[in-house]
Amino acid sequence: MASSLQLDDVTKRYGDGPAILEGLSRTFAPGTLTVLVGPNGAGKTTLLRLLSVLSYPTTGTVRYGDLDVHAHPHRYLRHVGLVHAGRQLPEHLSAVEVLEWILRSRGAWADDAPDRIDALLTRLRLDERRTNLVGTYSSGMTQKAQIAAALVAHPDVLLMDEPLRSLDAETADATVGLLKDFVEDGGLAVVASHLTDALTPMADATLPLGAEAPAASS
Amino acid sequence: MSDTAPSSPLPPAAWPQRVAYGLLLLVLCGGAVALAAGADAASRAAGLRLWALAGAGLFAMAPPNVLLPDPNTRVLQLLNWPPTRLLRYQLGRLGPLIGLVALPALLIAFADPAAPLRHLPAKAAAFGQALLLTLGAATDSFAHFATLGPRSQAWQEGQSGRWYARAVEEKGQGVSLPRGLVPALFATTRCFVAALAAILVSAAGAQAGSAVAAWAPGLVLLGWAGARLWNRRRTYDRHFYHTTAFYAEVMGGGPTAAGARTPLPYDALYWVLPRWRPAVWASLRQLDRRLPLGRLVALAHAGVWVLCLRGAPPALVAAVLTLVFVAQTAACGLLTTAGAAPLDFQRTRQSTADWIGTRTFVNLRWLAAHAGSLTLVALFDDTYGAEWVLRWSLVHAALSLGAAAVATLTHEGWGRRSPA
Repeated sequence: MASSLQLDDVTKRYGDGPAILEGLSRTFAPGTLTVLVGPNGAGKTTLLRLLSVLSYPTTGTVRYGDLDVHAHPHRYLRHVGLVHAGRQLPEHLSAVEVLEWILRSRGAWADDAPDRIDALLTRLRLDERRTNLVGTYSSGMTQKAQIAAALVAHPDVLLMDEPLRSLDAETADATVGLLKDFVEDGGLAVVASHLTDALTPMADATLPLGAEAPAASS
Repeated sequence: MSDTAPSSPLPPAAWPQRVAYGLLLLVLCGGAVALAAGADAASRAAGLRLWALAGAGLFAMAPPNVLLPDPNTRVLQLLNWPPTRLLRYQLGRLGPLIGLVALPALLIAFADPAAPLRHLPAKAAAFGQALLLTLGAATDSFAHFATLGPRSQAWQEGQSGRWYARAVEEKGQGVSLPRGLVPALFATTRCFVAALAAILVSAAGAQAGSAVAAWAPGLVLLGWAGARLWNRRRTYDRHFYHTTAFYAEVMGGGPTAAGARTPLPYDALYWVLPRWRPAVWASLRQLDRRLPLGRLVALAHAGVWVLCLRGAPPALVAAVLTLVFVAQTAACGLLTTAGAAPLDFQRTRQSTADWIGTRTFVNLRWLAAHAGSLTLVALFDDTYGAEWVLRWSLVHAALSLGAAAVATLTHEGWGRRSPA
């Protein structure tokens, strides 16, 4: 069961420029899907980078339960699955090997792991080329592998930046289905996407960012 | 499923990088053997201390460029390695740099074909002291740079270093770097001074015949740095993610700032062939925002002048010059990261051969500065002359081309230009 993810008066600026996020307070509860919306440059990716410890806030804290996520990244990331924008997987491994490596590295390898990997990749419609090297994949296949990499270790928190980008309609539907199951099982999902038609109907909340967003929302 | 999962996320280094590293090591080892030929034990010890000094300069500058931002952060997050393993992983990435200093040091100490066993205890002692000083300088620098993220971010975002910001705004003083990189510049100075102090005390101890004073500085430096890392081993994840997050933001990967420096005007590149001038201009603007190469070149030449003033053997000066030229030309590798040079974009701009030409000119930017500095040395030191200056200028031109070719073939590969 996930804990809540809580932003407390978080401000983030790059250099001495204007704040991308200012005084943002928000609680993401377990069993909910929150969709980040806003125009380009509104701060969606910045917020996801903060939540995934790829960026540190200028002021304020992000807590997962009682844990300050930026003070204890390793303990926090045990609970987290991540899909960042762009290619992020090693090119010289196959998708199956990447997932196996993640499970072994996280101490989550079990006898039924190969079957679970197969089932996950099948659901994401990654075909027999799942055993080919990631470097040979199209952008859509890479995206499928990245979504599988985020989900394979059964995280409590799922952070996704444009997860539906490059996906064909059937895989997009499958991904939305996986997200739905994840949330119904008590998972906490925060997703940034411009393809809101597919996600908004099942979202528990939307968080508007950018010029139209309130200075501090809760 | 495979029987064994891969143990490292690092893709193996491409063959041009391995060849380049091997060649550099070969050149340095060759220089070391030439330097050590026929030298007595005392000369070897002096040479080793000077070599340790060059190594200290390398370790004071290189770690942030070699280690940060870590290119594998996102995979490491998926794997979620524990703090101690992250620490081992990053220390391991420093290994090739240590090899560049330690292996030539071994040869300076022991390469003595005429009498390999002569003065063996003295040679071993001199090598041991130099190795301790080298490892101490490397570990101290690593411990400092790997944990610099919070301070750098505070400077970058104006929460610290206000006195510096005031000096820049009111008096126009300061360096042409993003403000958050100023702590790294201070760290470079601090790490070099700490290593320099240890080397000087060790040298004084050896000359005074005190074994304790000769060994202690290296031991203290290594022990002090090691203790700092030991204390941070269980929280190293925080240092790793924070420091790499900061460097990703400043160097690329996150929003980047152009910095306060006036960017290089296009017309200043009148000396570049018109065919490559636009790409050289864009490359140099990117490089200037990554690395204060001009200052580092000036610092390196100050070191060369000191060596020449002290009457250091020409072979040592040659080894240091090789190191300086190789390091400077290798900096064009910073232009071949995915952030600086997205592959598809690169290939639509121009062909691989054109990129080699472009990066050769990027490297040649410093040829005049190198030649000018060496000419000054030749004017004031009878050991060197015009031929020496010309020879090293040709070496620089050759290295410029070689480094550009290695970097380009590694990144853009052999492929032809893609249609725009």
